[in-house]
Amino acid sequence: MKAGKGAFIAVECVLGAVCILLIALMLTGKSEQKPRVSVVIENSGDSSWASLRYGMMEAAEDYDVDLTIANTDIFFDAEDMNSEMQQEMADGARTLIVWPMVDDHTKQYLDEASGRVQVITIGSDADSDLPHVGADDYALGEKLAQKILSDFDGSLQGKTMGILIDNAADSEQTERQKGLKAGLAKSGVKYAWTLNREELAQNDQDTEDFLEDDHYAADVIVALSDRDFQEAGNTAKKGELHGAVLYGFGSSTAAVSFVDNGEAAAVLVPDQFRMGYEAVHMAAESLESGRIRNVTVTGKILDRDVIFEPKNQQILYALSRE
Amino acid sequence: MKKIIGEVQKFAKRVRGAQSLRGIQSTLMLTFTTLSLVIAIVLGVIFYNRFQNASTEYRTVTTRTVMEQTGENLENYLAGMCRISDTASYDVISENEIGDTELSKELYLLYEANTDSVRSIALYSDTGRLLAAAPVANEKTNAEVKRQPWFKAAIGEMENFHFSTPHIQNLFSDDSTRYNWVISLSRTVDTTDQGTPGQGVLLVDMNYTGIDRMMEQINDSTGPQYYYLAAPDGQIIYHPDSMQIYEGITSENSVKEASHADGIYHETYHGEKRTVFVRTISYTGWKLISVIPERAMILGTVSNTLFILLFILLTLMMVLIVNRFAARHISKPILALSDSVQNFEAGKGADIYIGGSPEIRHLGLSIQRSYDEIEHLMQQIVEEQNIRRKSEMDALQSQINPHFLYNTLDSITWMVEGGKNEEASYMISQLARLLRISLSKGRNIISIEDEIRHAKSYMNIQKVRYKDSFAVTFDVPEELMQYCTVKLVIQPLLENAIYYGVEGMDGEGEIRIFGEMKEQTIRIHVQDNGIGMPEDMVENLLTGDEKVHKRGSGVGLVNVNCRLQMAFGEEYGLKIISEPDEGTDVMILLPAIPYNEENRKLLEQGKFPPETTVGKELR
Repeated sequence: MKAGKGAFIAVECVLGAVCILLIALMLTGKSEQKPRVSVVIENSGDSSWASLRYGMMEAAEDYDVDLTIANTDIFFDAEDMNSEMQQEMADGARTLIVWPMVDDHTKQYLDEASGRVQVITIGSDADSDLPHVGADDYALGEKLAQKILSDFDGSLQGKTMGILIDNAADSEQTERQKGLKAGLAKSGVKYAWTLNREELAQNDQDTEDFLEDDHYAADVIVALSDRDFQEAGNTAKKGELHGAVLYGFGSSTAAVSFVDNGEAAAVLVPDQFRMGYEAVHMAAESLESGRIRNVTVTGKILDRDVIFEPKNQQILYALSRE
Repeated sequence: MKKIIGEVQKFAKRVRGAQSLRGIQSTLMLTFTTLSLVIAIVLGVIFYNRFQNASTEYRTVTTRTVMEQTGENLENYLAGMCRISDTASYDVISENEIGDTELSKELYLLYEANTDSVRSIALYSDTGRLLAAAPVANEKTNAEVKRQPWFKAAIGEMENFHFSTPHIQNLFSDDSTRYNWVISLSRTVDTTDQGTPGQGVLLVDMNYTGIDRMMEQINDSTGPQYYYLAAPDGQIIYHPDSMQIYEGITSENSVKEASHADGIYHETYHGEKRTVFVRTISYTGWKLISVIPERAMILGTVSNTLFILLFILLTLMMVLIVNRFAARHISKPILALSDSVQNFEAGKGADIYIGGSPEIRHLGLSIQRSYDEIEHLMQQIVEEQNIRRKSEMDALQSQINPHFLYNTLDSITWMVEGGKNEEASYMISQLARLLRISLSKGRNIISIEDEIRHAKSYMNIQKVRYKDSFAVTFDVPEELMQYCTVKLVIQPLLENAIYYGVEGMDGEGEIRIFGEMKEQTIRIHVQDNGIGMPEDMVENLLTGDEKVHKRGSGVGLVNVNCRLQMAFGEEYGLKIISEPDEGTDVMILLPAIPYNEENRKLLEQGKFPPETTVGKELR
């Protein structure tokens, strides 16, 4: 009798527990919150990030994460970047995607943040060991060199080249420069000058003023960043580039428009859509399974002949997303 | 570990025990529960299928409705563009000469009136020269109009409207660095240039954002389901994942799906089953396609499945409770009846349970009557057995008296005739005592004291008869005197000791009667130093074998042994030890039952006193 009663109570308890489990499952299924992923990039509203933002938002939808892109201005130093990171972590971010700014303290702040949440670097890796999504900038530099050589029938003998660099401490640009020079090593080109915009800015000098100066005339000018490319493009538009052929790296419709309008010969557009997409994908994967791997993306060279080819129009579509 | 296994085994044993005891209740509950469970599962499956079908039906209806509404909106949008093109063609271009300021002015007015949906209106000659445009803008030097698909399509088929797929407008330059996505509507139009009729190509570039916004709206919050727009050749016009497709992150089965006529199709793409709705858009032949992956259906049904599982479990819980009460209600009187029968059989109680439903009550009454009848019959049998036993006992005892009495009276007669009056008187007094004890008011059980007194009287008589030719000693301890014995058990042994032991001995015969108690068994020895017996004769003495030669009173050892065993049980009676020329020792084995009226009566009835632990098998 007692054993029968005990078995009956045991069965009822087990069934009751399963019922409670099912109800909890039904309720939690409805109220489950998406994991929050925050993005910290300098001047996040800038149009040059359009493609990156678009890629991130598409991935957030595909992988069902709550994506927040911190509304930021220009970072003057790593402290600014760190304060944004701290704010996002305080707001409940479980993963930070950071485009590190060039500063001596950047690595330290990133390492500190990675002790609290998952941190993924994008663009530049800031010499840290954190998971990274970015382009192989050395290869991109080589790719642009191949395009220049191709446009000049394989030789730059007797030609001079000027290089515009946004920040000589930025590994992204130094790698591009290395790749470019390696690709042109046997071309016979002479490097006339290299302008470091960051240094000029510290001396309250403007890049465009230098470019307009006859002293800085060159047969070919290569801009290693979107900002440099736009400044050089604007100079060319004014017809004051002394006949130099402009090449460079760009990630905005403005950069493409210089090529479209004939003010620049070609622009290499790093695939920032893919970069943004893979960064959020990586964040979602690490949140779900803890699995993480570095991702490298490529870029595409657009010149006037191919800009409006149907496949390339898609690049402009991504760059145009506001 | 062993302890745990032991506990589990004990529990299992208890459960098995409980199950066997509660067999009816378990069977009823198991049957009810199984039946209920089957019904609950069948109902659950039916509900699930019903929910599933309803969910699929609802999704189908919703999707159809959305596609119809979106299709109509797109068609209205395109029709609106056609109307703008018609207006430009028939009301502006046909009415004005090429180069007239009115032409440009009216085109601009038309553009202004539709600026939300129109990016630009332009008129080209059949050679690709720009004739007029609104808004006024610089034509790009590298526009190469004649190579543009919309121009070639218009020149190729002059009678028709031609809608392009979305593309970046690459005709005009301005200060803006923006690139506008448009859908081009082109057609050939009749022109007049300085009175000369000619043909031109009218281009109306529609803002793609209108279609983009429309499609984004229907793709908002649809989960895994999505809608896209494709040209008849499968080229994607709008897709929520267009960039992912471009990047190769994902892909779309647009070529195959765009080739379908309007309807619903099931397909497997990249290992995933999906349902595809197709609707053709008028004017363009574009296909509005909705894709519902199987996981979208599953997502919708997970909550239904959980709900149905919950329903089955709750039903099962309720059913178990109801079943337990129902099974207990039905089985309780049966179990009570079973328990009472078991108690009755174990001798713990004589009352049979009468209660419950009429059927169980009737059963109980029948069993009660049967048991009453059986008990009555058993009592009757016991009584009959007692009577028969008593009769047998009486018959055995009755064999003693006549023979001995005849010999004793014969001896007294000789004494009187021989003038031995004093001896005769002694003999008569001893005989009287002997007979008094023999009678014992008809009692069969007497105290050992009386039995010894009886034996002494008997031996006194025999000693007179045999002229003290043998010696007799009685050595029974006083503490054994007040125990029970069957009467007249020593006297036949003494008779045998005289006749077969000491009679005719050369020396002085000696008969010794003594008693002892060992382990609650009283032993009364009748020992003689007579001629003794061989072993084989000893073995046959108590068997009742007729071939064994017997002399004396005719009341043999068999008689005594039989009476003792009838009164006290098989383990009591006589035990004989004899050696030829040495003598014989006959032992009477008795249980140590104190002699009192109560015990005597019980023994007389063939029962043992309750506190007695020996000889219970008698009952």
